[in-house]
Amino acid sequence: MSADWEMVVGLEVHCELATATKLFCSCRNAFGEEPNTNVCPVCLGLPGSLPVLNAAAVELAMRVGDALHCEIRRSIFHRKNYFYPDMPKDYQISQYDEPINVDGSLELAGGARVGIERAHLEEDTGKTTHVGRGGRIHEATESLVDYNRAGVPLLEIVSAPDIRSADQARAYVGELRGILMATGASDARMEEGSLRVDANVSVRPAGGAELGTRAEIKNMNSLRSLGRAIEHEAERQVALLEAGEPVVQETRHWNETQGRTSSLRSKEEAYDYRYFPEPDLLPVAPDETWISSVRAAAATLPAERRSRLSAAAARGRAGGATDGEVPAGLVATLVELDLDGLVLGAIDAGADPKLAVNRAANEAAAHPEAARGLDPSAFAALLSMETSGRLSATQAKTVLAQMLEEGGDPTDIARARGFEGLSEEALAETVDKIVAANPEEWERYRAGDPKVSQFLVGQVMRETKGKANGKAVMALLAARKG
Amino acid sequence: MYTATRSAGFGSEVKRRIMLGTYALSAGYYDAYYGQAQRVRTLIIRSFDAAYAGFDALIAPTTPTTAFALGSKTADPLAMYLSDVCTVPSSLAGHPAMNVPFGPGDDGLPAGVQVLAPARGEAVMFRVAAALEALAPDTPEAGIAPRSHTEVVR
Repeated sequence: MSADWEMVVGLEVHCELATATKLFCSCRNAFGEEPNTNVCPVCLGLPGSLPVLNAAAVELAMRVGDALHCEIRRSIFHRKNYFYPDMPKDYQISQYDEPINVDGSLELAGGARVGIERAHLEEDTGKTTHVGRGGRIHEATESLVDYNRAGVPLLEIVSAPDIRSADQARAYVGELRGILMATGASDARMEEGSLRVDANVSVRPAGGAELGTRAEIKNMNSLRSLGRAIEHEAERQVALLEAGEPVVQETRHWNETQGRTSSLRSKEEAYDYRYFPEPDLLPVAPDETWISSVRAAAATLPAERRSRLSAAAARGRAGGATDGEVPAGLVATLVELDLDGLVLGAIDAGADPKLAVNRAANEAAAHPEAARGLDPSAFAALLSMETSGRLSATQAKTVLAQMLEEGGDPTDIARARGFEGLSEEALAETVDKIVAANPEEWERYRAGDPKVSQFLVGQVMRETKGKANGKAVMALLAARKG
Repeated sequence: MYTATRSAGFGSEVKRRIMLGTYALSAGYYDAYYGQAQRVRTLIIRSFDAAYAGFDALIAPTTPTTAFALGSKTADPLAMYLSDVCTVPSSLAGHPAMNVPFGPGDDGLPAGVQVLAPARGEAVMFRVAAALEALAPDTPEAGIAPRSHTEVVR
């Protein structure tokens, strides 16, 4: 987008709460089961059935509200009336003007702060599948409905229009996912639909104060398509405005294969939901004791885990064998994969911080499940074998791969593979021997010729049949030079 | 299918109420009708609260008149709604109320007396209703009054 324009984006995120049962009945809340097996008169909307609120869903909503710095308030449920086969009652029970969480914020890894207007409870709808051709209703030969999802608890998290780029939108959803998983509120899987994102997009002249007319974009099913859809929609609106045409307030559908949005319904065709208070449910008024117990049990959030890991890496760096900044990207990856505990444990056990971060983020991260089960002290032991020069980098990676695959002690694995044939003393002796055998090259090395060092290392490697660690040889040569 | 089943299955009063409810909740009319009605409802609750400050329960006629002839008010929905006027206040307030058959009216048809009680006042309501029932004159078996509810059902 040209620098003359600025995009303004607000996101509505729906996430399914990870409760055992649905929001208003005791049907199981489970994904991927035989259609229409987890249903009962309540979630099928049969006459005479009455909803009973699931306390666990309220608690999860409160946890997320707390993590997003929201005010947690007394809330009431409304009926949102609309007529569609995915909603057997013909209304959705949702929170309207008195939601449970209001006025929060989310800080992105880059430092930007996005306001949270509200995070409210509501029930999910059934899942419709349109069979035949393009998978959309007007192209379908048959439409199927699965009510297993009807009544599953949802938390709708509405951001303020504080997002200014597609990258920020992705970062916001990424950070929110981390929070939802850390609080145990949701597994937040976009592909499975347990996390769904709609984007309100508008554009305005760069630096403008007024908001432009917005369009709401639906149907993005990955972070990548979210970014693409926002970029595309902003470009489309800029093109309209530059051509002197107005942007129409409407809902638009993102088509992933075509890479564009198309109009779904205009403002005139917008639903009139005729909200009114749900007469079958009492207001939800969590008392101070409940709210404090949720606060007291709050999980450590990704942002805090990142800063904890960065701090530990920085603290350890002074005494470590390697130096230099630990990249923020690697720290974020480790927290995302839940491997920060492994690295912190290894640093505590004396491992070099930067090496610990690198081996965890690059090698261990390829098998996150196994890596999470790794004993931090065994990981630390492996890393110190590498820093002390008893293992080369390649050898250390091989040992780590076997540890991840089969478990075991790094010393035993290294010995079994014959990696540990070379003690530090033996290596020092070999270096002495090579120096003595190549006096001319040694003199050139002492005089500061960088090229000759490769030759000397190569000679040591040949002598040790590749068992020596190149870095350790370099260190010994440098020490000898004085 | 919906048009057919809804048109056939619902009587004109049900359809009228669906339309009225939908209209009152629609964008642009919500505040004037539904919102305003909610405020009036609060006033009714306050008025009841004021009454219950001095009394445990209230008694009142259940209907403004005794039974009217079948079909005689069908043409005039407003007159029909007025038949409910005595029972609507406690419904709006969310308070318990019950009817006690209380003998014949001047025209010989059965009349009811209702007992109204404050929120969660069911226990008082039942005691007052039991006392009223003990006092109630018998309704003569002649005329069109049914002998019992079970007979009507049969």
